[in-house]
Parts: sequence; structure tokens; C-alpha cells
Amino acid sequence: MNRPNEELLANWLDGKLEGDDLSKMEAWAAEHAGDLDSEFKCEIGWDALNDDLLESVPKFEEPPYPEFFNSKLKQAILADDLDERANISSVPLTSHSSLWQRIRMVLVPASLAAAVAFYAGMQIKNVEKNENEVIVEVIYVPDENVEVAVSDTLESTEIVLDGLSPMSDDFHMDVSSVSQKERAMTAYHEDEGKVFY
Amino acid sequence: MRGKSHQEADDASGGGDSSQNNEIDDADLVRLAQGGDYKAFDVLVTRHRGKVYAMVMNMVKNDADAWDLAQDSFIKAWKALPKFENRSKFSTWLFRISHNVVYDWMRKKKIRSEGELDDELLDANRIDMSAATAPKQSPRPDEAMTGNELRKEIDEALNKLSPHHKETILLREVQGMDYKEIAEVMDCTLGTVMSRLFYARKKLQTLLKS
Repeated sequence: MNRPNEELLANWLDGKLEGDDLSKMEAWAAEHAGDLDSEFKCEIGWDALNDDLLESVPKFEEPPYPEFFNSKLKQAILADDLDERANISSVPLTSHSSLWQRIRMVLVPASLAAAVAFYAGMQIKNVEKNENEVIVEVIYVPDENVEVAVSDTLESTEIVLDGLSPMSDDFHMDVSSVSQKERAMTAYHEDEGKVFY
Repeated sequence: MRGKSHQEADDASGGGDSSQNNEIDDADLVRLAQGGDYKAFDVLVTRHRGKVYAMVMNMVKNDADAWDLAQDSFIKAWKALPKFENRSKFSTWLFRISHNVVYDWMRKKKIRSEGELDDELLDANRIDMSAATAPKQSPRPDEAMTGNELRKEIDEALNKLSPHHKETILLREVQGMDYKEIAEVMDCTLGTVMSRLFYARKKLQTLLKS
């Protein structure tokens, strides 16, 4: 294929080529990508800006605490191997980042407890002894198919319970037994059928 | 699961020699790691973590998230290592993994923030400076642009590009990848790479000129 005309080039750049034209153009470009790109750069006078870009954006930057980065990684991978070997299958967890495999083993019971607290508001019979005290008489156990996923950043921990039944329109949640912090961090997304903590 | 245990990695870690490690090329280290030698993988991590972290950091602009995402990338790389066939460079393959990790994270972040007030929308740096209601922030004529100012301006301009345009330009101009490698990392055609490069450069230039 000879050098394509400007119209063909423009159509290619705009993703408008299909079938045979596209195949031919891609094959030609694979051979001439460098030359073509140099032309494009020249056309817009890019070179000066490229120097500024290279000066301003690092190509290489060690993560903070690089040695810890490696040791944390090794820990996570070893833990993941141990998990696989133990072949733990009693709790249906979603496949998620292995970094949090061990953490979630601890957090799963905690998150289920949180689910209990959340659903208890729907299903409990409250007996008020005084203004602030609530006694939970019925304990809710989530369905077996509720899946728990935990993700964590340095700033927050997020626990997602997936597969909960949607709340009915007349539902009123009594959160008087839930602390202010828990209330602030709990959100129920009805469309997705998930609770975010 | 690898054929060999981590015992080998632990044994090797005792007698590690960084100058020796530097002489071993990626392909050999990959082969050792594929055989279960964690020490070899650790050398690969040390060798490539700076590039991966820098790339992820340039994309997400948050060091804590970048740290976690870089970790996640290497964990996924370790898991997928048995499938790696050495047909491409290890670094290209690793960038492909971190590309997927970053885009998954961005997708989840977008879903979670839908319907919520996104503070980033209120970030002055993200406001289109050409908008009629935006305050004019022209530098004083007597002020020469210092290195820090230049970096800030370029950073702001890059952040106004779409993630695809931004990533393409970073992979090409900053990481120095060739076009085929970029297509491999971003799982797209060569034409898409060229197109993204062309329009990203144009837009970046327009933003910086304005």
C-alpha cells in the first residue's frame, strides 16, 4: 500500500475505517507509525511541549516506603497461597483482591454483625425502657447467598453486602441503637441491593 | 499454584546480591518466578515498582490509592505469571495489568460516586478556564514560569484529558513505549493509539496555550 491520502488518514484517526480499508491502513501504519507520528507532531509543533512534559511528569517514582512495599506484597501473596492451600470454602465470598484475603476473614463476621444491626431495625420489636435504650428481641440472619466483599484503602475500609433483598416502600429503620459514626458510614443502595459501610 | 514452594524464595532471599540481580534480565527472572522462586519475583518488583507506581500515580493523582493499586497490580502479576509466555516484554505485560487495575478502580469509583456530590467537580483545577464564568488567572507579565508552575500547569492540563488520552500520552511520551506496546497495554488497535496520541497532543497544547 502506498502512502494513504489525507482523507483516508483522517478517517482512520477518527475511527471511521472498517473492513478491508482498516486492515490495509493498520498494516501500513504498523510499518510507518514512527514517521507518521513525527509528521503529526511536526504539524502541531509538539516537540517544545514534549520537553516540558518530560521535565514535569516523572517516568520513575519509588512508592513511599519502598521496602515496606515489597514486604507487604510478599505477605499478601503468601497469605493468598495459604488461603488457597487451606481451600476455605465455607463462606461464599466474592473473588476480590488477594491483598485483603486475610483481612476479610476477620471482617466477614464483623460485617455480618453489621448486617444484623442494619436489618434488625426492620425486623425487631423495640421495647423502649427509656429514651435511648433499645432491646433487640429478634436477630436477623442474612440469606445464604449474601456475598461480602471488603476493600480497603489507607483512608477507609469498605464492606459491601451484595444480594440483600430490597427494602419495602413502607420500611422505617430505627437507628436509635446505632452509633452516630455507624449511621454516618452506612448507606443502602436500593437499586443495587447492596449495603455500603 | 506454583510447582515449587516458597521455601526456595526464602532460601534465596538470604543470599541476595543486588549487583548480581541487576545483571539478570527480566526474562530469566520471569522464568525463575514462574518456577515458584519468590526471590526472583521480588527482584522484578524492585526493578519495576517505580515505573508502575509513577504511571498509576500519574493516572489517579493520589499517593495512597496509587500505592494500593500498584500493590494490586503486582499481586495480579504474580497470580497470572504462569500464563505469561514471554512473547512481550515483562514491563509491557505488567503495564497491561496495572492498566486493567486502574480502570477497574476508576469504574468502581465512578459507580460509587454516582448521585453523590463529587468534591473533585469543585476542584478549581478541573474547572474549564475558558468558561465564561471562570475567573481569569493569567500570570503577571513580569512573572517567569518556574519549574513548579510549569509542572502544575502541565498536571492540570493532563487532568483535563480523558483517561484514555492521558494514558496514551503518558505511555508514549513519558514511558517511551512504542506504538505496538501501547496498543497491547491498552488493548486497542494501532489506529486507536495514533488517533488518541494525535488528539491528546492537540488538546494538551490548546489547554496549555490558553
